Amino acid sequence: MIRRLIPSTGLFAMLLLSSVAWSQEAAPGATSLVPDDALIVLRITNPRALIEQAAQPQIVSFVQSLPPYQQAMAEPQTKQVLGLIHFFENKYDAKLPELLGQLLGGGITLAVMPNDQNLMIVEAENGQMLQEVHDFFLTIAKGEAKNQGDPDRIKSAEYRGVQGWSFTAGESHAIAGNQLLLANKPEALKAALDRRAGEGGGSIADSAGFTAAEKAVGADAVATLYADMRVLKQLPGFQQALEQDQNPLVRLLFAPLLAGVNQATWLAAGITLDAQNVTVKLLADRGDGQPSPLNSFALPATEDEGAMPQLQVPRQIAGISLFRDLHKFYASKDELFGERTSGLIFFENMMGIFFSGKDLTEEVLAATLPDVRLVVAEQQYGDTTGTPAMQLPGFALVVKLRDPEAFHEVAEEAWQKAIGLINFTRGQKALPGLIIDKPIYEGTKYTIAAFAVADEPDKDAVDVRFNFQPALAVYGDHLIMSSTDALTRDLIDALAKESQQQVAPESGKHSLAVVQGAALASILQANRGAMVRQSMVEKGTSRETAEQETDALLAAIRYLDRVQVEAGEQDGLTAVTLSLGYRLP
Amino acid sequence: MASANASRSLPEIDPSWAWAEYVPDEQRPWDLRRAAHLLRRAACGADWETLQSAVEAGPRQTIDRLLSPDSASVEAFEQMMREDEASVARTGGIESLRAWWLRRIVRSPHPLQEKITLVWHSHFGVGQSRVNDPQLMLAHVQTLRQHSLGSYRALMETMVVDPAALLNAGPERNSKMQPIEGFARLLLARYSVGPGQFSEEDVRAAARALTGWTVLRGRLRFLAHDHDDGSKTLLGQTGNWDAQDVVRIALDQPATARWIAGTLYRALVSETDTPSDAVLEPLAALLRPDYQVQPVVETILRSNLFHSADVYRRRVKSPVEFAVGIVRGLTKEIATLPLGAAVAGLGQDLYNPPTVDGWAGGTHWLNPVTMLQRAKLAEALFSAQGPYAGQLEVAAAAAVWGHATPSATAEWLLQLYLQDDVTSETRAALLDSVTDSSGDSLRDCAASIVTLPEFQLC
Repeated sequence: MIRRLIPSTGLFAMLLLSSVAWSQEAAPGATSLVPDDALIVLRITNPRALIEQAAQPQIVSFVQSLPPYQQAMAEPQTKQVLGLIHFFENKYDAKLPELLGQLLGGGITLAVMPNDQNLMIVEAENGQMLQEVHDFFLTIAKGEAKNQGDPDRIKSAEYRGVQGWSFTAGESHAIAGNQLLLANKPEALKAALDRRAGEGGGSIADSAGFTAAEKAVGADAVATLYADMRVLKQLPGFQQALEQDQNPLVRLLFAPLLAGVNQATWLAAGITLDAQNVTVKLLADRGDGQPSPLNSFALPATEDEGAMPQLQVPRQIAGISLFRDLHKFYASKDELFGERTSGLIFFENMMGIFFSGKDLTEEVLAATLPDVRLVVAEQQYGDTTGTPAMQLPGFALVVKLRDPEAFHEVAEEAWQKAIGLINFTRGQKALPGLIIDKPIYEGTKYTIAAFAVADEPDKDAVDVRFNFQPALAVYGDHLIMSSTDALTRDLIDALAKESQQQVAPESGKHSLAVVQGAALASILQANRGAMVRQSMVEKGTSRETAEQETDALLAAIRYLDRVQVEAGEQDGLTAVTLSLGYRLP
Repeated sequence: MASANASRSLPEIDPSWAWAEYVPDEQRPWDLRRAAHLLRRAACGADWETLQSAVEAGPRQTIDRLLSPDSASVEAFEQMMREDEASVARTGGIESLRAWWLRRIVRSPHPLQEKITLVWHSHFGVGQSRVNDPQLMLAHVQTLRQHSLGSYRALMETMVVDPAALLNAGPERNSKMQPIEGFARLLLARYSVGPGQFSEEDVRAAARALTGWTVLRGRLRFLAHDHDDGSKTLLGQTGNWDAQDVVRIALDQPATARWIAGTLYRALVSETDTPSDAVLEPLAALLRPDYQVQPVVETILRSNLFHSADVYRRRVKSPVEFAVGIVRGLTKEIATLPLGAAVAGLGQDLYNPPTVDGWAGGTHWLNPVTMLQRAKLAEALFSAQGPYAGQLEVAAAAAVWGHATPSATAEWLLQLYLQDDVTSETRAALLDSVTDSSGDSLRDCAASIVTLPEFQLC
């Protein structure tokens, strides 16, 4: 029995620790036990807020419906853990969330330190309960060690008036007042106890970087993370990850963020919660340096500049809005992405064909302004064409033009050449081609290319090509390149509305992104069969299992209201905010 | 008589002994080795339960089950697979289709049908790289499957106007102004009379007879104005022949039945030994005149020759037989998307034979590179990490059969995969390699077993 309980003990401890990782307000003094040279400090300052959020009946019921949960519940070890939980619930006449609140509610601090030392400090609201739970596991551990003929495995020693314990190699812990101190090495535990006694050198609580990071994330965060970038940047793996990527698209999208992290001396994160939102804010200081002029293509120079708010269209799945000066970006291509990859050569060759006689940098990209937006939306299909067997979303790129009148024909010619090339290539393979038309919508004449309606036997599963009716339009001073006619019309409406409302840019923000859960779930639901089939051959599972897994994913996405990311500068710091809104049934 | 014949080289074997039904006796008992031999060749391998059941049932009943599995199970399985494959062909790439075929082979209640479908797949040599249309490829393979154990005549009548088969052989348009000889040549040289049994005049005549059949945008059409309705002389017969006449005349040739019998012989008996006409003739006679395949397959599987030492572990496993043989031994739940890619890497890309001549097969499957790749695939299949993690659980499968200790599990694996067909030194080394009860040790042992030269043969 004891033999079986030990793994359960480990699982239970893990459960406690993982709950810890979601925990409240800073335990007074916890950071004073962490040395000032800690590399990473994770604090759960308000565990109760996280526990309460996670224990909402809708969330519990959703998690219980997940196949992995049901599989885990069938495991003997899980059943033993549940038995232990019931034991403690009965003993203290309280349910698990309350038990966790009393055990962990004072806060949790986890520190990763040099020399491979880790320290965790758990502050209980109920110190007596903490001691009793510890004594329970101590009894089990002793019994197990004795049964295995290794009673000396459980070690104990007193240090600075505090009893320390070790149940197994690589673990030392002590209870001091209402605090559980857990370390992977005895030296780390002793150093924490030294600091508790007012000795042992400086603590992270007094570090200027840590203080600035904590201040930046704000007092309302339920969990915070601090990382000392001066040391972390020296790690080979980290350095490699921060190395400037040579992929032009990666540079275009992420260069300002990578540069920000590269310059930082500290990085901080804070999680805040409200009724149906989780917000993660990532902040990095600028160190001693100034932003590289190379990245100025993505950095708003004045308060009036920034990424434009998202364009709103019906059935929108996602949107990206970027403040990017494409002319400046491509003019610095040799410095930003000097490698002449085959992809880049192909891109330039194609641009050379589409914009023949014009210089791509000075006569094409220079015609654009730093307002680039991408919109993705679910499609609706007509009865005449039918519904494709695989339903793909429509997507469109909207770019603001310096001189729309002058550039309209240039873009039109390039677009028609591209359609011609597609038709020629498809013709070589005896595939149907696109037919160009020039409809008018709300007074705007634009160009579309569509496949002729085919005599498909099953109108509910027509060829995938019917997801596309590429279109080009210029509305006001915006160029629209869209994969579908309907999205083009919706974008003309959205731009008209934006123009009427005189929408201003988001000051200081260079990148905005949003994903709408309901629309994403809707298009995934439309392709559920394909997802199930893909899962079956990817994982080798039965149809039933694949359906359960797919449905669980769809259910999770349905609970998602939206995910929003904003990146830019805030009070002289590099700032990224990830906001996740969810909708419980 | 039986024992005397069993020691002869194949071309000298007495046909009447060779194709007579094998009846177990003291010298040739029906045991695990013979049952596994049958299931390797006819079903790409089997799990322990099926092997035990085959040993218990005896050869006659085991072959009956292979030829006529429970029709309700087959029908239900077929209906489900057809729907999935049709959807995948519309929305996914050929890699997804390939994965679904492998899933079929691993899970099918009619494994012999899949085995013979694979035989015809190589025989007709129709590949996606030449057809470039997953839906046509799926329809082609479905036709092969539908007729796999049925009438080769019906199969040929369909193939001669199969869009994928036509695209496989050359341009889409086959007009009387420019008859395409590629398909006609394949039809004679591979699909019917066989090499050396026709002249260039016959090729031209067949090509003229096939004119008018065209594939436009994935659909087969007959353009009457493109058809050459003049008189043609094909294999000695003169008339205004069309595509179906070509099939009829070709299948009427005595050489055709021998050639097709030889194809089945190579697939089920031996790819390396060339049988004499005398050995093949009884099989060819079974084919004529209706070209029913199942009686020939049945005769081969029940025969003295099939169960003789002359052919035991003498055939090189194809990559599909190698991979599926490992998988079917332990599970039916396997990630076939990565497995399909791995099997393609070993040289057998399903839906895509390298040339119109199909796969060369036999010893061509093995070289230092593919042996290394087979070892890597074996390691990946049994690994606790990667795309197949947790799918081939050796210890758990052995425990079902009461083998709780590592050494007992290793012994069981030797029986399951090799029926102990290893030298005592190899056996001892394998058992010694299982040093502890950790899963890693057993996984390594299992991977070593299926990497042995003996496992590459069936």
